[in-house]
Amino acid sequence: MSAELHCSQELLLQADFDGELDAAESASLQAHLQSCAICGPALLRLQRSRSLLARAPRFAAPARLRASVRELARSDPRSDIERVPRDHGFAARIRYLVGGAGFGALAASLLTFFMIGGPASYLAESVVDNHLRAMRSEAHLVDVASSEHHTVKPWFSGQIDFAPPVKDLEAFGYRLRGGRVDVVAGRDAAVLVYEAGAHKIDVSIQPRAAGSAPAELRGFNVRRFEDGEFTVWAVSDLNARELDAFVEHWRSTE
Amino acid sequence: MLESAPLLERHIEEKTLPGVTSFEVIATTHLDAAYSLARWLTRDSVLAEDVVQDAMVRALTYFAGFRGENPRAWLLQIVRNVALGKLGARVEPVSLDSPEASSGESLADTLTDGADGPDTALEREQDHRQVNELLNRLPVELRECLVLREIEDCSYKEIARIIDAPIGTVMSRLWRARQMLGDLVDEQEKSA
Repeated sequence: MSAELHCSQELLLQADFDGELDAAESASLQAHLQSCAICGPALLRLQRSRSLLARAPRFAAPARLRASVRELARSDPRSDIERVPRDHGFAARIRYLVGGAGFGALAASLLTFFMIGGPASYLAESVVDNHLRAMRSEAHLVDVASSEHHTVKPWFSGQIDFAPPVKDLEAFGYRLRGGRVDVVAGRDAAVLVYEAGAHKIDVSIQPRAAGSAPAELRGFNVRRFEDGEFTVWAVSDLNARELDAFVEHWRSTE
Repeated sequence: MLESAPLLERHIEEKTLPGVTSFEVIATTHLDAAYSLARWLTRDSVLAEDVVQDAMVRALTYFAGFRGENPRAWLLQIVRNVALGKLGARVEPVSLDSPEASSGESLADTLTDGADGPDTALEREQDHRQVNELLNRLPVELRECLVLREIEDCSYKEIARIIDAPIGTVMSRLWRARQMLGDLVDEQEKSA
């Protein structure tokens, strides 16, 4: 075996090579590299292993495997259970019970479908899913973090092809946390995140589309309304009255 | 209930829209990555297919508890566990001097773009065979890290999740894998 010589920085050297260091760490590693007799050759070795692996075969799933996996996904009722905690509302629990009892995808989605009433609520599901996902991961909550609506509004113009209204509601006790882009029913949605005390409100905005929505879904309150050329969804764990108040403030603010 | 059938169909279709990621979308989107990892771990195309099949069945049972974050890493983690289970969870002996085990291996499941002339195709085939043999001589716990990093382009964090080990372990295994690969190449060049 070669490489008897070791440098305490070798794993950092490798992390830099793999693009895992931030700018400051990377700069100090580069400075070390200039003066280290071990790391220079070690870097060459890393580069050689990478160019070797660039010539490795790439394997693709055989067509028959692809077909059977698709078949499995389509036929198994469990592929239709949504990724929400079981204790998250009555509908999810019923769906789980029915699915678990072996009734299959048909019964399960039929039930969901009728319980919350059709395609319009599919949109609501999608909005609530996004809200849940964002709540679970602090990092995904906002793509641009700013309490300044003058910062958030232009950010969207680089991301999506419409300009959503971004409102300053601080005066009413709703602090803007930032914004992100979600996908709702296959279309981009601009999402503004406001804070009301310990509660978060997601305001999801898309160019206007027809539809209606349930007022409550899986334990979250949901409001859907039109604002100019946009359809706006507000989702929050605020109680119904408080969310109504938020919507009222939103609508009366330019 | 008669009129519910077309409605239901539409409902199911809508569920596979982007952003609502159904199991089918996850499974088919990451199928090549799943197969590739299984293939590198098992070094056998038939066994790799079995592994992916079993992994998908297992993934379905876990799907209800899946939170939707990084579906690829989630799936690869399952594939990896199934593959190691099938390999008997043993740590393979490092076969520094016996590449026979893999030299007869078929590479028929390799991706090609088909646009090359016969010479390039032949060269690439030789390339593939050579790199494949070298890589297959690494012990599985080093090979998996290297394959995930260099072929599946995973971050350290993703690798750590997939192999269920701390990032420090990922870093030192990657380092050892690369050193060992370098040694194998040196050795090969010396004997040539």
